[in-house]
Amino acid sequence: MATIKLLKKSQTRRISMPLKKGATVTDFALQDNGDDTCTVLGVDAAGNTVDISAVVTLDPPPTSSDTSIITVDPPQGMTFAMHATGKLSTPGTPVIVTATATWQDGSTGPFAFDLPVDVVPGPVTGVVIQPGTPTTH
Amino acid sequence: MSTRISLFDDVHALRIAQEATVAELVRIREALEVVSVNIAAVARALSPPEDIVGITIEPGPVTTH
Repeated sequence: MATIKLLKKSQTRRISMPLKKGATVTDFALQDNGDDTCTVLGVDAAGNTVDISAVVTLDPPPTSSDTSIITVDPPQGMTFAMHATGKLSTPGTPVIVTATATWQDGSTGPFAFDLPVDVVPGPVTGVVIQPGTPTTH
Repeated sequence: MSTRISLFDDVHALRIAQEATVAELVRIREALEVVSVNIAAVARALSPPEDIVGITIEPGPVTTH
């Protein structure tokens, strides 16, 4: 037996809901001289990832909330590269890399996802002497 | 499998959540006599991407420069 619910067209527009309810996004750690290639995937109601490359475009292109710390290349299909510039992010204040997937036929979405990225120091490869404030005697 | 189907005309949308076959949808269309249902669109709506509720960014292996 069919169940039918009438809705106005304006009521059918979906809002972005990138994760299952209650799920948390874990910060991604990137070394200060690091590069990474990211892939954008769909997420279904059960939280499983789905290849959506045939039906969406990354439009607008992925962005970085602070390009002095992380830069983001234009996307190629569902992937894009991000690069650490060498500057560290402030602990507790990650750089937010945002991707937006827009359905080519407008049937659903668009959906956006924010990936928090902490830019951290790499392994110690040497030492430096840092003089303090001089005083007199 | 539970399916969710969206059908549109100029003014209203119908959202039908059920286990429906295309033949059943044709009968629904005939019963409603409200909108012209595009069966091809219904078939597309039955495909798995309809179930997508969001996106995620999956970082790959890290390299250095």
